[in-house]
Amino acid sequence: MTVQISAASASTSAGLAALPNESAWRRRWRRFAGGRGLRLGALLLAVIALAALLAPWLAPHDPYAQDVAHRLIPPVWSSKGSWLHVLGTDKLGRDYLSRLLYGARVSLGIGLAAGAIAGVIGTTMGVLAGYFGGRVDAVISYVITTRLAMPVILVALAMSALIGGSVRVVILLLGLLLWDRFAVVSRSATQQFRHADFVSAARALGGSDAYILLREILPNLSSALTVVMTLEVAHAILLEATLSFLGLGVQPPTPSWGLMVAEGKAYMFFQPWIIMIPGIALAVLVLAINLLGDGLRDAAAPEGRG
Amino acid sequence: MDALLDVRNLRVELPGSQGTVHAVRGLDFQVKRGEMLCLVGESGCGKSMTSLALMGLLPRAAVRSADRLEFDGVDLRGLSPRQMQDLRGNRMAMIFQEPMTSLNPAYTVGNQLCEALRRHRPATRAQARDRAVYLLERAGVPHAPERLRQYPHQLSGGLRQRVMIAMALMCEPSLIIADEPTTALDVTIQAQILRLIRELQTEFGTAVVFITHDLGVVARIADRVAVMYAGEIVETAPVGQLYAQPSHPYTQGLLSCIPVRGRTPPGSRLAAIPGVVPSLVDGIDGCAFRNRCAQARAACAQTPPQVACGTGHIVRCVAVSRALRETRESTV
Amino acid sequence: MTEAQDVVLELRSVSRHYPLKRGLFREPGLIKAVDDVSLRLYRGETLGLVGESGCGKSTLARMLLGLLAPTSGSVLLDGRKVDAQSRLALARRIQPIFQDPYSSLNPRKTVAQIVGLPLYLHGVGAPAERRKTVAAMLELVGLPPRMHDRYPGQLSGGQRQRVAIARALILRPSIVVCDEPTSALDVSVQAQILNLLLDLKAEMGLTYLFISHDLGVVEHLVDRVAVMRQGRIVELESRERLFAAPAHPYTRMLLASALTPEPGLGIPDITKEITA
Repeated sequence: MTVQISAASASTSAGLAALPNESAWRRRWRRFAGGRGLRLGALLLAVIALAALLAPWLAPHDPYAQDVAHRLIPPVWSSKGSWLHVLGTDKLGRDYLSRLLYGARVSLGIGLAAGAIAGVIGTTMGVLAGYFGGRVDAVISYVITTRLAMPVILVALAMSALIGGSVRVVILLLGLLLWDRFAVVSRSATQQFRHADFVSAARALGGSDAYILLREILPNLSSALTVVMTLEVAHAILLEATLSFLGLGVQPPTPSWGLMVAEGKAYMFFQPWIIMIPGIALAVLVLAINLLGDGLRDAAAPEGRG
Repeated sequence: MDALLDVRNLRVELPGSQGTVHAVRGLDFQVKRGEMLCLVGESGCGKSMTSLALMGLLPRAAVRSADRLEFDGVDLRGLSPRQMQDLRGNRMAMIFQEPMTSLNPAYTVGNQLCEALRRHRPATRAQARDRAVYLLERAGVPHAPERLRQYPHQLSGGLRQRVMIAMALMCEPSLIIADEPTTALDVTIQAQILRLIRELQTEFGTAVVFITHDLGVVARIADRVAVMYAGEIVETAPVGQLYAQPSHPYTQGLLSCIPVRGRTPPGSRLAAIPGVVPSLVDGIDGCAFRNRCAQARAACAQTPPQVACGTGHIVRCVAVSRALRETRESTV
Repeated sequence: MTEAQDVVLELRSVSRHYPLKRGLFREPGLIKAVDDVSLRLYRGETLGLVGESGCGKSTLARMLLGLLAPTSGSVLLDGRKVDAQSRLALARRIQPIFQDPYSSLNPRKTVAQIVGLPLYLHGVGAPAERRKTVAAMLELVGLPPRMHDRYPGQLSGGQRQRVAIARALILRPSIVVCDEPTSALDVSVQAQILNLLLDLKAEMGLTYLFISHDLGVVEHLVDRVAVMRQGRIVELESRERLFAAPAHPYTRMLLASALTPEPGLGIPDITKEITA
């Protein structure tokens, strides 16, 4: 029978009087900046996000400009490469670095947009189910179960084939399919807080249900939901890449990393950079998001239990 | 020196985000065989840390040191983790506060009781079961043989605590450390459990270190009391003397802020101790109580001396030491 | 205690039952958390409600606050039924202080936001005025200005209870339901909080329903005591009479179990009280 109590809880109970008047943001920032995985993930993500944001200024060429005379030029580190096209050109002579940068916009943009839509849908459903319980919970849980029974990729493929792929369609589709984790997490978290004394106190003060949900419970869900958001954004990015790879997502000539991988398939053996560069980029992006999510989960402890 | 447990200058330090927390700062105490010593103090005073330090169950990051840490002739400081495991549950047992979490919900009561014995003694399953039934009955658990097959969640809080007590006694330990064993129980159940602990202690001759914050409980069960504040023992005395003549200002403050029937006029203001417990980060110089003490003076910034003010009555206080010296000088 | 005294709060045969499913083919059982309780709370008094865990005192408190509807019977505030009054009107008359200082404050809000919440919900005064009212209230409960922008996680248990008290009293209710307000606090902090509650009662003319299992504290504070057991009130008496000569065997058992800090008296044998 070994019982260990954490050093943290022991030291807080003894050293409470020494805590300076730090705001919650400062403390969260300190913990946030603490983990190594978190820092790496955040750094990578920041680089990619910046590249995506500043693409119009960073890209040396127009990503849509074709120059068939200069097609399939290898990147600068190969013997036949040149600094004119740092990452070479693709089959239609379009500058690869520019396509990569603009592709970051598409991938990240779609990921974030789909994540936001899924987040709103899922959180609303989960919070309502968790707070009201009873019939509302039964109905919503049924919907969640139905959604969980669906294979997301197949449904996305089928819908996309039916409607036709485009950036807008992909965002909407993914947003309507990826909300399940938000719903489950927010539902269980809301169920926990529903019985907390501060919620009872707010009700005793005359707070309406709407007030309590929005201003008392929701802020307490933010750390859990942030972690879910990072996971689902990564999920959305990978799904979009899959859809585009299969020709059912973003349509050419829009640069999407998934599409670039598809286009590079035919040239895999002799011009490997066409498929490798976007592939590595995708892997790095997903890795960064997952590191960030893990790190946030670790940093997301409640504001000290004294 | 027939002390079962002899502790000198016990210190426990924990690394924290703000600095090192000195949770226990130089504890001196002894426990005689068969004696009930109550360690009383409020939250953060270090009493739980002390019990963990004695059992060798401190968190890995903690640093324990002592000039003397002897249990039944064995120097605990030199024992390996394996040797400590052999000691725990065998000659030194512990009872925790929360019986729901200290009993494993996945195993039956009988399983846990028998394991407690068979871990340390070459007993057969039948022998272990017999002893388990015997101890459960002594602990006041009705239908003991049937209880062996039950799981912890099927028992009430009071029953679970009785099971914990029986488990602690399986190997006939010479010392039991009980960390707030009745705090989570209803008042009527608490009285029954305390009575049980007292009876079993007398019957088996076990020494008990009883940790609590409840001065009412201490008054009724203790033989001797050690009052802890901010990681130190500020006063040790036989129970009668502590309540009749509390000498340390903290003890006095503590006793006077409890409403007592017949003594405190109803509706009156209670004599609360002003201020808050000081931080234990990076240690404290001098007396930890001086910023809340009405009798504080300049000399309190130095480590206060330990003075004896009665048989077995030791106080760590500058004011008391001065007062005693004055009385001695005036009678000379 | 004459009949002419104001009855501020009244419970008439209030019950709260929960159905207990016992499987597909058996009749559902009934958990009677509160069973046919009738009680009157007079203006200006402190009524103690004692009982052990599971006796229904917290359920009763929630029904008084309008947080839980009784399955039968009625709760009357100033002679009018509680369910006929709006949530906001109720909130201005009766407020709670809960036991757990950790869960009774929203960890994501500052002290000032928590204490200012009632003013915000009831639309009292402009923001600048509200800030002043909040500051005055916090001073009244003994929290200095540097605490105003702290989060609950940075406060001690006693400080959190002060925040909870400030929040409960800022709308100047007349009745405060204290549900074990000091049980989770150290003894020295408890004394401070009890003193604060006494001072505030005198200053603001409050009526308290004081729920506790600590008989020493109850005896110190209350005018009358109600003893609750398994959903029913088994004894209701003035403080002096209850503690001097308890009538009901359960009350006697409770009083016998209360361990006063008087050495040499040993531990009472409760089982004798049960049969007595």
